[in-house]
Amino acid sequence: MTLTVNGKAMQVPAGTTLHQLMVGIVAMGHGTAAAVDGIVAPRSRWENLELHAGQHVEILTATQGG
Amino acid sequence: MADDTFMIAGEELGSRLILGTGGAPSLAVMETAINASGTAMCTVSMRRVDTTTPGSVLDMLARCGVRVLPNTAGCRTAHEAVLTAQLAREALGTDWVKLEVVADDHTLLPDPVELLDAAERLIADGFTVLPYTNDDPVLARRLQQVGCAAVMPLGAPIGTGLGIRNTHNIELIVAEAEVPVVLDAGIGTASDAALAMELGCDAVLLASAVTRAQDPALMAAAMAAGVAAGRFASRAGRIPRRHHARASSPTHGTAVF
Repeated sequence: MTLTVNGKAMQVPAGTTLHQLMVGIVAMGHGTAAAVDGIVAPRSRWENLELHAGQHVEILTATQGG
Repeated sequence: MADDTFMIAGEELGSRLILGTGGAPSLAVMETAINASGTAMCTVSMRRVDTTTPGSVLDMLARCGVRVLPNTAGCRTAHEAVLTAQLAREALGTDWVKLEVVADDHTLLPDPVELLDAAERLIADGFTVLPYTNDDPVLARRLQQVGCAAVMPLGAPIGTGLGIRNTHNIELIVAEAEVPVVLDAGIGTASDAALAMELGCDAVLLASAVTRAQDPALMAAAMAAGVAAGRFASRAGRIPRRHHARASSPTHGTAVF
């Protein structure tokens, strides 16, 4: 299935959870957060949050800024 | 000097200089500037993960031992700002946020309607809100009324280095404030930071003036000195301005030739 992750199309297996997606993109270290279709997904829910085709995922972290 | 603790929302900060980390040419340069400034809190922005970027600003700030204050820079609406703050809380484990909701790219001035709306929503959601605001005493009052933990009026638009354009309004904000006033944005050089403190601000938040200086670490030290000097002067109580001269040497006992 296709997701939009940080504005880019990404192919992932059906049934992929947010946790699996995050592991594939960033080290599971501190400092990242995700929103799915504009709603914040708490880290405690990543493991069980199954993603669906067409969803938009934004993955943010801290960067230098004023 | 007597104890002069600086607190926001009941928490003590070890410095009245807050540094933004934007604009520095590298993390290494930023680190030297932070250490030279003696700051206790630095702002960061929330952006999409970029796995090609080397180093981590969070690791660097942890090495410096400073508190991390996420901002909502880049947000144009209350909705965007609330979502960004919630993501920052999730990512960084802090409910403090520098709330920034700007109206356009060329002024980067706060949008007062969206700002107040976002502040109310975030406070209802348990955040400690430090809003970047216009130098408008009425808006500052409204932000306090909805429960902001500080107000952070601009001296001039972000990144301009124009200093404090409306000292009268900053004085009015300070006179009425029941929460700390942090002069945020527009500082160009150390005398601007000193002036902010002389006007009665509790702290100064700046980024570009240090990060884009030719020698960021040296300017960071200058800002720390400026903030300290301004604070001392504010507490010391300046002499009133006079139209005519007033001799400091005694007139009594003057020789007659």
